[in-house]
Amino acid sequence: MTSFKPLDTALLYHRCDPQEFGFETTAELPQLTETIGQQRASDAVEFGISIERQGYNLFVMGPAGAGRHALVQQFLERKAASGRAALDWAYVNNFAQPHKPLALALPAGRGQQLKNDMQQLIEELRLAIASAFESDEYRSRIGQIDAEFNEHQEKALGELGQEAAGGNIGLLRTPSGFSFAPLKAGEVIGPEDYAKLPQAEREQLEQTMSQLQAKLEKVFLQVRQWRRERRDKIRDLNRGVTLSAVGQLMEEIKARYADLPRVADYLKAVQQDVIENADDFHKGQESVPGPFGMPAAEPSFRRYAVNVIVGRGRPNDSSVVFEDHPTYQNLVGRVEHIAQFGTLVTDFGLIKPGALHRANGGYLMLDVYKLLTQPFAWEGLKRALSTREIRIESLGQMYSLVSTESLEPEPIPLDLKVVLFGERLHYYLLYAWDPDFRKLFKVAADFEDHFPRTAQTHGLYARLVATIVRRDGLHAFERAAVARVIEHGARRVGDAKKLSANLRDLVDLLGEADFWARRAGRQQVGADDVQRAIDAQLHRADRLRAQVNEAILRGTLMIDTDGGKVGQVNGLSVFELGNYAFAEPTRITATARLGEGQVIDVQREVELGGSIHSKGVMILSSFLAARFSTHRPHSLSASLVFEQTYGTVEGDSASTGELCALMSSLAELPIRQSLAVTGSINQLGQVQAIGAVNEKIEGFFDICSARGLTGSQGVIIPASNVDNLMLRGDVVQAVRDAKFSIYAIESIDQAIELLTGVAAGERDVAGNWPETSVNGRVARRLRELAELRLKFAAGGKRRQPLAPKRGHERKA
Amino acid sequence: MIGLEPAMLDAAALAAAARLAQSVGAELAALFVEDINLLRWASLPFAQEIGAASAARRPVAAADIERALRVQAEQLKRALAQGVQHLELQWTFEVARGQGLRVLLEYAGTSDIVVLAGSAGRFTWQPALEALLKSAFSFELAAPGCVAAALGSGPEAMRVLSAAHTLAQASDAELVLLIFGEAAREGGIAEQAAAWLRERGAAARIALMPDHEPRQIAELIERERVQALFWPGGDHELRNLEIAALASVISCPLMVVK
Repeated sequence: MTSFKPLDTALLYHRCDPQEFGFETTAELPQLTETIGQQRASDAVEFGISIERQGYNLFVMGPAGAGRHALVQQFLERKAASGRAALDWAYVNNFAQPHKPLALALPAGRGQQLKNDMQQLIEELRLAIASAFESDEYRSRIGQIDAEFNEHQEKALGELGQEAAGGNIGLLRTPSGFSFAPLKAGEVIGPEDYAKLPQAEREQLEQTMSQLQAKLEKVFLQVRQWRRERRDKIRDLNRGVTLSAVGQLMEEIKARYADLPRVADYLKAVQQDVIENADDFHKGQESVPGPFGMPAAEPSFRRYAVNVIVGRGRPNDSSVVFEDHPTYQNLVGRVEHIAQFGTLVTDFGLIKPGALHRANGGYLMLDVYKLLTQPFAWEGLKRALSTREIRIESLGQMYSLVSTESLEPEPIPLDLKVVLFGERLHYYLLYAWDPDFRKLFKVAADFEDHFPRTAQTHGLYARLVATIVRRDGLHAFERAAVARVIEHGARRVGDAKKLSANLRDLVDLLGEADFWARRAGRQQVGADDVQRAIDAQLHRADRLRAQVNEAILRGTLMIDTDGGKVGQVNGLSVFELGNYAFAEPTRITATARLGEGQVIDVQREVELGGSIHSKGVMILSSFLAARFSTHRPHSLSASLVFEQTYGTVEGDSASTGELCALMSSLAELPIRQSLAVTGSINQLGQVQAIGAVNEKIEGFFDICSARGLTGSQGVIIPASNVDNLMLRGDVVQAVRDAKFSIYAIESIDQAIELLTGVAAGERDVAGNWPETSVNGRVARRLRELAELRLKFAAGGKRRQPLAPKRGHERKA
Repeated sequence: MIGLEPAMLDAAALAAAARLAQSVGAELAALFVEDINLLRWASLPFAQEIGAASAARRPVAAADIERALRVQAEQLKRALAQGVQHLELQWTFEVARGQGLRVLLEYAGTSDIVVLAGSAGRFTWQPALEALLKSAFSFELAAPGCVAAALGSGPEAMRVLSAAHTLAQASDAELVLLIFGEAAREGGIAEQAAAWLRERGAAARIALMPDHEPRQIAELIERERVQALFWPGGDHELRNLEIAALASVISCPLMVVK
C-alpha cells in the first residue's frame, strides 16, 4: 500500500488577509462606479443600447441578483439623458371618422399644454358663442327672418281668407290644419241651415270652397319652400355669427401650434365642427331630461378634449420604463368603456396608454418570464417591434370574439429599445423555438455568476461593500469584516479562486451584519458580526439538516464511521433547498454474482435515479469490463444501492464510491467506514471534479464530530476540487489537530487503496496484477465467474476453460 | 282665468297667467273652449281639411273633430297638472263649448283677471302642443321685455296697475304704463300711478295714447317688446268685442282685469 498524505490545512481555506487593505473601515473608501467582473455583459449592454438599427434589442441573462437591472438601468438613464428628446403623444377626436381617433405627436411638454389650451378654448367659445347668440344684433336678424317668413304666410293666408270672406266663406283652423266653411252673420252655417239653402247656392258655395282649397294647397306647398328658405337663412346666420365669435380665438391657438402641421390640421377641423355645432354652445345650459326621467348629460364637449396618453413634464424627461406587470393591455394599451344605461360606450378619451407608449422614444425593460406567462403579451410585443407601430386592439377584436363596434385608434409609430431580463434557459429556448426572437433580440448580454478572486477584485469588492453600506445607511464595515465578507463570497460560489457576483445576497449579508452590530451596540461592523450573520442565515435554514443528522446519530439512518465492511462505502449526498445546500453521508452497497456483465443500478430500476447517475453507473461498469475482462466474457452481475434513500438520486459524484464498493465486493476486502468518498469516475479510472465539495466534507465531519473524532476519519475528494475548498473553521481546526483528514485523489486506485488499506496493484510487464492486490483479487474473482459461466453454458459437462492460464491474461 | 282654445294656444299667455296666479296666491282657472263653429263645419257633408304640414286634403267627420278636441283637452289638463305641481298653485280645469271669447268672458264671471292669447300671427306655424306647454311652464318671460298696463279713467285703473306691477316684479321685468283716452289728456292718473309705484319702491315708463286704436297699441307692443298687456275689463270702458278686436291684433297675452 502506498502511503497517501492528507491535504495540508493551507489548502482547506483561502483566507482574505485584512492586512492587504489600506483602510480601517469602509467609510474611507470611495464610491464604486464601475461593475466588477461583468465586463463582457457590460460591453454587450453598451453596444446594444448604442446601436441604432432595427432588431438590436437586448436580452440580458444571468443569475438573479447579479445586478442586471441596476447595471442596465444605469446605462439606459445615462443614454436617455443624453439622447434625443422623447415626444408627447395625444389622442384627439377624428371629426370625420369618430371611431378612428387621431394620434398627435408633440414635442415633450406640449401635449399637456395643448390639452389646457383646448380646455380654455372651449370655455371661451361657450361664453363667446352664447354671447353672440344672445346679442341684440342676432335677435334682430332672427326676428327679421321670422318676420319675413311670417309675413309671407300671413299675406298668403290673409289674402286667401279675404277672398273667401268675399263669398261669405270663412277660413277655419282645425285641430290639424285648415279648412273653409260657409258663413252666415260671422258664424259657420250648421248642417240643417245649409240643407235649407237653394240647390244652386249650395253648388256655388261648394264649387267656390273647392277652388279655395286648391289654392290653399298651393299656399301650403309654397309655405314649405319658405320654411326651407327660413331654415337655410338661420343656418347661414348661425354660421356667420359663430365664425365671427370663434375666429379670433381659433386664430390665436392655431398660431401657437403653427409649427406642428398635424396639430394645425386638427385645429382647423375643430373650428369647422364648432361652427357646424354652434347650437351645443349657446344651448348648452338647457337641461334636457334623459330616458326614464334620468338627467341627461349636458351637450358633450368631450369631443374637443385632448387625451394626453404620454405627457412629459420636461423636455428631457427620462423615457426608461420598467413594466413590472407586462400583460397584453399593460404593454400595448387599451380602450376602456363606461356603462351608460346598460350599454358599454367608449370614445377616444378612454384610450389608455401601455408601457410601449410611455417608453416610446426611449427604453422599455421587461422580465421575460412574466412576459411569457401573460397571455398574448409576447405576441403583442413582437408585433409592435416588427411593425414598428403601436396599434391598440382589444383581444376580443383581434380574435373576432366580439362584433360590437369599438375604436380603431390611429397606430403610433414605435421607436424604442426593449431590454428583456431572463435566465439563460429562456434565452436559449426562445432562440431555438421562436424564429422571430433572433430577428428582434440580436444582442445578448450574459452576466457572470462569479468573477476571479484576485488582489485587485478584493479591492473592488471592498469598494462595492462601501458603496452598498453608504447607499443603505449601514454602519461602516471594518476591514476584517470586509475580508470575512469576501471569504464568504468565495464560499458562496464554492470556489476559493472566485467571488460571487450575486449582489442581492451580498446586500442581505451586509444588512444583517449591520443588524447584529447595532444590536450589540457597536458603531462599526466587525468580522464577528459578519460571522454571526452567516451563522444565523445557516441556522434559519438548518432544520432539515439537523433532522437528518439526528436520524443518523440515532441509528435510524445507518452510517458507520468506524470499522470495515465488504461492499459498503460512505458516499456523500447534497440536498439543494433554494439558496441553501447541505450534504449528508449515504451508505452505498454493492453485491456481485455470476451474470452476463450487467451492473444493476437499483435506483434506476425503480425510477429513483436520474440520467446522470445512471450514466455514472454505466461508466463504472464499462471501466470494470475494460480493465478486467478484455479477453473473456464479463460474467459479472452486480447491484448497486443507495441505502435508505426514498427520493430521486441524481448526479455522478457517487460513481467513485460505487466503484469502490463493487471492487470491495469482488475482492472481498473490507472498506474503512471511517472514510467517505466523493468523485465521479471516467472509463479510464480517473477521478473527476464534483460540486458542493465543501458541503460534502462538512456533512461527514459533522457526523464524525458528533460521534467523536478519532483521527482516522476523513473524506476522499477529487484532486481537481482542491481549489474549491473553503471549509468551515471547525473542520480546518480538526485537520490541523490531526483529528480529521482530507485526501485528494486522481484515480480509482488511489481511492481503493485508501479505503481498503491494501495496495491497488499495478500490472506487471506480462499484464498481470499482483495476486494480493485489490486489482489482482478483482481480476481473479471475475475470471472465476467467467469460468463458472462457461460450466453452466456447457450444460454441466466439464470443458476446456476459455480463460488463459494465469500470467497470460493480457496476451490471450 | 286662462282661456285655452286649440287654435289660440299660446305659451306666453299660459306662463303669464301662472306666474301671476302664483305671485298673488290666486287660483288659476283654466277653460278649454270647444269651438262651436268647428263642430258645425265638421257636420257639413263636404267638410275637408288641408293638413298644415302635409298640405294634403282629407275628409273630416264631426266625430273626428269631437274626438280630436277631447284628446286635446285631456292633453292640456295633464300638462297643466304636471306643470303646476311644483308651484303650490290651486287650479281648476273646465271644458266648455261655444264661440271662443264669448264663452270665456261668460265663464269669467267672478274671476279677477281673464288671460287671452294675443292672436296676431295665428296662422303662423306653431310648435307641437306638448312642446308649447313645456315652454309655457318654464314660467320665464322672454327676456328682454316688459309688462304693460293700460290705465284709463275708470275705477279698475289701480287694479290694472297693481296686477301689472305684481307680474313685472315676479318676472323682474320693466313696467310700462299706457295712459289712454281721457286719462291721457287729463294727466291725473299718471301722477297717481307714479306715486303708488314710488310707495312700493318701483317706477315705470309712461306712454300717452289719447287715441287708443288697436293697431296703434299693437305697434307699441312690438316696439317695446311687451310680454303681457294688462287691460281694464269694465263694461263701460270696452265691450267684449273691443277686447276681441284688440286680442286679434296684438302678439302678447292680453290680461283683462275686471
